[in-house]
Amino acid sequence: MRRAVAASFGSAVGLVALLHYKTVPSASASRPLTTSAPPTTVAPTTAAPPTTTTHQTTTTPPTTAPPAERRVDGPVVTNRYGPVQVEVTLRGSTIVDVQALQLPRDRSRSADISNRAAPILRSEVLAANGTQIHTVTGATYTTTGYIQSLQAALDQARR
Amino acid sequence: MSTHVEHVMGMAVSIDVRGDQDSANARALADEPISWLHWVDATFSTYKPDSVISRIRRGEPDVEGAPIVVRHVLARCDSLREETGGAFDAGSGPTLDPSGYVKGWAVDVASDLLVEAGAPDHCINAGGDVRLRGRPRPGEEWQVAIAHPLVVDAACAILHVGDGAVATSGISERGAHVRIPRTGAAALDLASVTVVGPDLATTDAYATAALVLGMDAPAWLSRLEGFESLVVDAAGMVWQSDGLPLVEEALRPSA
Repeated sequence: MRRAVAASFGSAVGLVALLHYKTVPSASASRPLTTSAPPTTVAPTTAAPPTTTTHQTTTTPPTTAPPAERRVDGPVVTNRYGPVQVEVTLRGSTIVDVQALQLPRDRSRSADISNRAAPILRSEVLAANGTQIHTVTGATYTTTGYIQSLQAALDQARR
Repeated sequence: MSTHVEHVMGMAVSIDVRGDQDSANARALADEPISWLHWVDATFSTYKPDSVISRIRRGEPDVEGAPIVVRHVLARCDSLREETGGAFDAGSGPTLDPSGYVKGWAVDVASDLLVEAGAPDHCINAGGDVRLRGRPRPGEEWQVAIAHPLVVDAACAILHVGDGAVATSGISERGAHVRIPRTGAAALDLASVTVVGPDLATTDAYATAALVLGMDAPAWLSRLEGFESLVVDAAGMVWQSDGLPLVEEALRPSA
């Protein structure tokens, strides 16, 4: 479902969507609470290993050092409101920040604008340095969507 | 403190009752609200052929002949259509679908039932839309994470809310299920719209309307009295209203 939705957007979102799949494994691996929610969305990123993998198994030791941060500029995408460009900051394969480099003029005029949507990752939401989360709002969870949601993890933790 | 999860209306409804009830008592308190939600589903479902709404769609009774509670809901849907300039539209005749209002309204009533039953401190999360009452603990406010619409397993903000409601409409869970009433096209400009307000019925309807309004949503939302909002567009940009009750220290990742 998510892949289909992502594909229906323009390339700016395509960039974010692509990165958001890469986010899943590290975000799941770092979560401090054990929950029953299996990270089944990992599949798309791991399902197609290069055929040379078998020869490389010893060259990819697990590293415990924090991965370096890097910034990736998205393409300039012109929609009907004007040009949009985002810069995504990654730590390893995890998105830690999204900044707007360029916005349509009518948007940048808005006094209310806040041009970042830095994701607070699952581990941080659940462990939350001093921040207690009681519930999660999001686009309608179907019964199946709920199973893997943050809300389900919170409900489970409180049983 | 006890959380019960009920699957009703095609979604998971989490009922989190606080206070000094033991879990058996808390579950008993939730009995009546749960029965109510199932009654609403049986009455308003567009999937169940014998629901009142399905019968109205087939023209069996007209709206005037429907139970008063159904007429109340349909009248409120009509006024919301006017208020939103048609962006919220429950349809009519064979296309009648008041689900976008019914869910929030049903949860508001369920919350009232919990208060009457002696549980003034609770949180009901119905498929990602939330009604909050009282306090989670003495001296604390409810803290609500907004699921990031473009990043799996992440939040884009954390809010603190007392008595009130938080609703989010978006494209992430069911695909582009909100359609623009006049054209039938999927609403795709925005990834999600979150609205904070006093009751879930109106708050949820406004979130749905804003998603349909697309890039006009931030300006429209800023004109609503008593409601705050956060909009994430399809490119990941965020707008927030001036009075949005953010938990500031949670805005940025810590590491």
